[in-house]
Amino acid sequence: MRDLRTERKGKILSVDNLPTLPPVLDEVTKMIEDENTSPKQIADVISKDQVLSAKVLKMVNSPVYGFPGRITTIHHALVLLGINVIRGIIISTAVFDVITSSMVGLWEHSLCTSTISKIIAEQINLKDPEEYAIAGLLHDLGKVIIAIQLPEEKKEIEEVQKKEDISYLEAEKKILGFGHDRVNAWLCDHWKLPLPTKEALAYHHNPSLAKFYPDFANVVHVADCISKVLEVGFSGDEIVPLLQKKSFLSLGLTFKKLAKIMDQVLENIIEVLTFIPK
Amino acid sequence: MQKIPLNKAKEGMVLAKPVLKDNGMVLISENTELKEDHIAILKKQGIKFIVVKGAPLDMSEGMYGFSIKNRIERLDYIFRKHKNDKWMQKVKKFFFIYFNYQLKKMENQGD
Amino acid sequence: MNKNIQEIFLISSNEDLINLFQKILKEKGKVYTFNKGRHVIEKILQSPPGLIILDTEIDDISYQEMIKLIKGENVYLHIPLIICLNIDVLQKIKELLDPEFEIDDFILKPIKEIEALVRIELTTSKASRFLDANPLTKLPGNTTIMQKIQGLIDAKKEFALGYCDLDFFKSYNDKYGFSRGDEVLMMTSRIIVNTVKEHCGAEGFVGHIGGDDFVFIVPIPKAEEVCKNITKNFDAIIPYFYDPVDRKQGFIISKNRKGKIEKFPLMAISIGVVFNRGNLKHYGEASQIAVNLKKAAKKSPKSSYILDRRNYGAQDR
Repeated sequence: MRDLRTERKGKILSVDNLPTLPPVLDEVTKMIEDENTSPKQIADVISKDQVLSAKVLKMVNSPVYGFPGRITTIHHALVLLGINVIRGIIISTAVFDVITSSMVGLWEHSLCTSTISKIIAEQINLKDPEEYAIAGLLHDLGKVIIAIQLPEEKKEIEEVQKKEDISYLEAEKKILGFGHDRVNAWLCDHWKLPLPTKEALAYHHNPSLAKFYPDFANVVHVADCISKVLEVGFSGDEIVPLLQKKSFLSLGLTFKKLAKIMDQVLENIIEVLTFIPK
Repeated sequence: MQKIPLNKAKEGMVLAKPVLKDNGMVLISENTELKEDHIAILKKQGIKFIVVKGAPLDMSEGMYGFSIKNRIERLDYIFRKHKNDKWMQKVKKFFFIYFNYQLKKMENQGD
Repeated sequence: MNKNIQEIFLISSNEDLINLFQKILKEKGKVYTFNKGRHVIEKILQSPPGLIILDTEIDDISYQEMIKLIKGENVYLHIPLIICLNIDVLQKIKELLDPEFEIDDFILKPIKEIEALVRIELTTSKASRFLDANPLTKLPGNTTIMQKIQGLIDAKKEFALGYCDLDFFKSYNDKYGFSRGDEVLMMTSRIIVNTVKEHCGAEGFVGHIGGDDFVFIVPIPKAEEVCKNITKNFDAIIPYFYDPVDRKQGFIISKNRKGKIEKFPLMAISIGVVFNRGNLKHYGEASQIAVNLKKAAKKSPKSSYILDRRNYGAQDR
């Protein structure tokens, strides 16, 4: 089991051609070619795609640029990388073909969780809500990587999830011996992503483990739960995860505040729903 | 207040928030009643979403595959793993009350 | 002579060519071959090799685009790049001599083994001696900066010359150490380079004098916009280079020049810009004015810039 796990970890970390969805890629390509688009506009579109965002953050935090682990938002990354390098990332990005159908649902769920994370951060007055939006967007990246690097196992996970009516995370642990949260932690270390992002990605199912930036893990955890209640997209199961009471309270949330957050979410949900590629 | 895609914008809707250009410049200020001209300008500027007063898009029955009614119907099923968890039952109750409240609000607006 | 250059990326879909190079380069380092341009770009950007050999006949993307991508960035500029081409490409000599198109050498097809070997040797040893580039940021250093400015003055070209430095960089270094200080310099260099590039394209120039001193040259009408965006972007990003506690409180506690403990604000960037409308005679004159303006900008603890108004409206008067 130990050896198999090491082997799978190696396979996961060797991922180098992360594909993404055609509509997003097309849109970004168009914007880059158009000289009138500002880096901010391009950042806004990239910030809606978990794969492109992950690639951009991986690049800007790589040791080549000399400041690993510092940059958490796409807008800052664009300022530092420049359009030239972004174009390079776009050119080398493939598109999904075979797995598109299963990935579209996950993409919607990620985008929805991203929007909710940002709204929560705004509503409880945290600094730089954009950082929370990115953490929310990337929270299920591990699932994408598993689908690409371990396609056979992914099928087994889906079968077990359905057959035993357990959460996707439990199914992952049964088949692989680890979940997408662990994969997230490996990727963050390997790609030298900043600590707040890492803690959010690695602990969004168990936020009490976050030692340095608990707000990040807590916000994404709560956002993920709300996102599952709304069932925008599909993230592998139809089960609302256990909302950690401690997490909820430590953000200073009450049901009254949650209602205000929900008002904001519903006001903005059309934007999420209409951004989805058909 | 509702954020709607520009292609759903109609004459007579009232802006709840100003429409800004990327550099922060105000294109059309809030409280403006939209005319066809406004919509054409926004289209030309590449604006995709605007925030308008009220809730012109009815989310209760279903819009872009999402509906409040459906949310209420699904609650029992998606919370099925937490039947014995007091806290989660409270959370579920919150959403039940919240969605019903929204539904009422939307129905009243429709009248 | 047989210096090892570790990683070599060979981009070609021609098997004979790949075999030939693998034989030649066996001693020089580990050769990675890619038959699609697409696959290698992200790799190069993420972990640059010691040498790139590019066959112009790759079919998925244009070799021109690829060269511009790599050579257009200060962090990759130093990687030696050799292209393999047919005689018809060589005839487009204008394109090959385009300053944006900084290939280090070329090898003509059909490739002669001995020629390829010598050219690779020469290119890589030239690259290791490479110019007066700043060792950290790889931006052009003093000699190049001086030549560039004097060249523009001699050619009677109009330009705006900006001098930038950081306020409270020393206290940051004292508290966080030199390697964290280097991170800030790298970040600053990227902001200046990208802002200048975004507004001026190939018309802009950025150099690194040393330490926290940078210069840029841009067309006069773009100067203010460039300054505005450099200061804006710097102020937005610099907080992330502080530990959470310092970022939150908005200052650091460090020693001042006399060794006494003192409070210092977060770093800021100051810029002084001098305009040449044919009035400047010498490099020294230009830099002196710019440095003085920068000193004036420095009086404010916040990021700020001062343009040389004396000459700015000269034509209107």
